[in-house]
Amino acid sequence: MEAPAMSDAASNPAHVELALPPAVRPAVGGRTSVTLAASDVAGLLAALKSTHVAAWRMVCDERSEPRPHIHVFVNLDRIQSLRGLATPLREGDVVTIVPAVSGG
Amino acid sequence: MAARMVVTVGTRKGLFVLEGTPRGKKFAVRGPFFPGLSVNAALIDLRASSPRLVAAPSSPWFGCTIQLSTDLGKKFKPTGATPAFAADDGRTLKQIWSLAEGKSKKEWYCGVEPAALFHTDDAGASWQPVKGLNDHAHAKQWQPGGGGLCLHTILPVDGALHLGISTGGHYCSRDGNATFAAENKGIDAAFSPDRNPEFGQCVHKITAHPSRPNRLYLQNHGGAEDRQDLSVVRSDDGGKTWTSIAKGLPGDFGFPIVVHPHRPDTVWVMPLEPQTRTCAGAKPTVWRSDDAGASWLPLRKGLPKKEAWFTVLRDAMATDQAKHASLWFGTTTGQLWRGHDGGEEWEQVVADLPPIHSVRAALV
Repeated sequence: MEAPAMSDAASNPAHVELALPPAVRPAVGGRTSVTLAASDVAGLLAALKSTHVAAWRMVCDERSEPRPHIHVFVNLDRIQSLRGLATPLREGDVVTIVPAVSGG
Repeated sequence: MAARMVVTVGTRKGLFVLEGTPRGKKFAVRGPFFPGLSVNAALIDLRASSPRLVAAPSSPWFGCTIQLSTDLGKKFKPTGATPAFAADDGRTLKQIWSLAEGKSKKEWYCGVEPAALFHTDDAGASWQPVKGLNDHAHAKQWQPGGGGLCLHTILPVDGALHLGISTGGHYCSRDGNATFAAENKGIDAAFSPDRNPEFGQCVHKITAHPSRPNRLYLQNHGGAEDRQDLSVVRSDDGGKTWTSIAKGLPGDFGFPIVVHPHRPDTVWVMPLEPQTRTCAGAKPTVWRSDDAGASWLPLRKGLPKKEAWFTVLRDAMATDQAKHASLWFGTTTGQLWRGHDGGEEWEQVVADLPPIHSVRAALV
C-alpha cells in the first residue's frame, strides 16, 4: 500500500502502539505500552510529551529528538532506515523505544 | 532523637546512604538508589526543619533527574522539574555534576555538562538557566577535560558566587549572577601553549570557609614538566589573583580540596601522580595544612601502606560538621574511608561499592 500523503496523514492521525522499555514504564503507570494518535514519528513523540511528559523526558532531549542512546523502531525497522522522525505512521503500527545495548 | 551521622555515597551505579552514630564504626547501608545510574552529585541540606537529601542521577540512556528525600534517604522522589536547555539553545544536557545550596531554603544551584548553571527557588519544582554564565561570551570556547566539559564547583560565599569549570577555569559573579568574570590570574595551564590565559584552565575543585570570604583554595590540574608547585593555589582577594601553596606536597596533580568546617586555615588535599592518578608510590596519603598552605602534614595512619592503585575524584572527599570533624573519602575502587579528628587516623567504613564519584557527610 502506498504511504498516504503527509496532508492526508496529518488530517487522519493513526492510532499507534508505542512500546516502552522497562525503565520508562513507571512514568506511564507501569504499562508496557501506550496507544497514541499521530501521523508520523515526530507527532507520536509530541503526543507522548502532551500525555506523559515524564516518559517523554526520558526518551527525548531538549530538542525533542530521541536521546543519543535511544533507538526508535517502526514495526521492525529503525527510523534511520526509513524517513527518520518524518516516517509516516499507519493504523496499527507498533513503534518501539529501544535503549542501546551499552554500558559496563 | 540522638544525633546521627549520615553519609551519601554517589557511585557509578547508584547512590548509597549510610547512617550510624556520630563516632560509631558500623553504618546501616541503604541502596543502591537509582541502580545502574551514575551519581556525580548529592547534597545534604540541613537548612529546613528536617534534613533533605538531594541527589542527581544521570543516565546515558534516559537523561538526568533531581531526586529528593526527606526521610534521610529511605526513599527518593523526583522533583517537579530537571534543569534543561531551551529547545533552540543547541546544547543538550548530558550529565549533572554539582549541586549547591542557594540563599533561601528553597534555593539550589545545579551545575551540568556541557558547562552551564541552573537555579531553582522552589525546591526543584522549576529550574531556570543562569544566563549570565550560560550565555557567556567564553562559553563556546570552553573545552572538555577528561571527565567532560563540566561545571563542577558552585561556591556561594558572602554574596559572591564562585564557579569551577573544567576546562573553563574560575568564574565569579558579584552582581547577583547577572554577569560572571573569568578570574584565573596565577592559575597555570600547563597543558596549553599559553600558560596564563584569561580562561581555559583545568580547575579541578575550589573551596572556601564562610568566615573568610576572600580566601579561596583551589586544586588545579597541575602536571607541568618544568615546575612541581602549580597544582594547589590560594587566593586572598576573593579569587582575583592566585598564588601557589603547593610547596611541600609530593605530587603536582589532584582532584579534591576540602576546607575544615570550623578552622578556616585548615585544608586537605590528596596529591596524585599525573600519569596514574594514584598517590605517589601507590601509598595513599591525605595531606593537611593547618596554616592555609604554608606547610603540609601527611596523614596516612590506617590507610594501605602499599599497592593501592585507586583515585579519589573531585567530589569524593568531604567533611562532616562535627566538633571534631572527620574527613571522608571514597575511591574509584569502591572503598569509603573515614579520617577521624581531621584525618589523624583512618578506618575503612565500607568496601566493594561501585567506583565512588561523590561523598557528603553530615550530623543530623
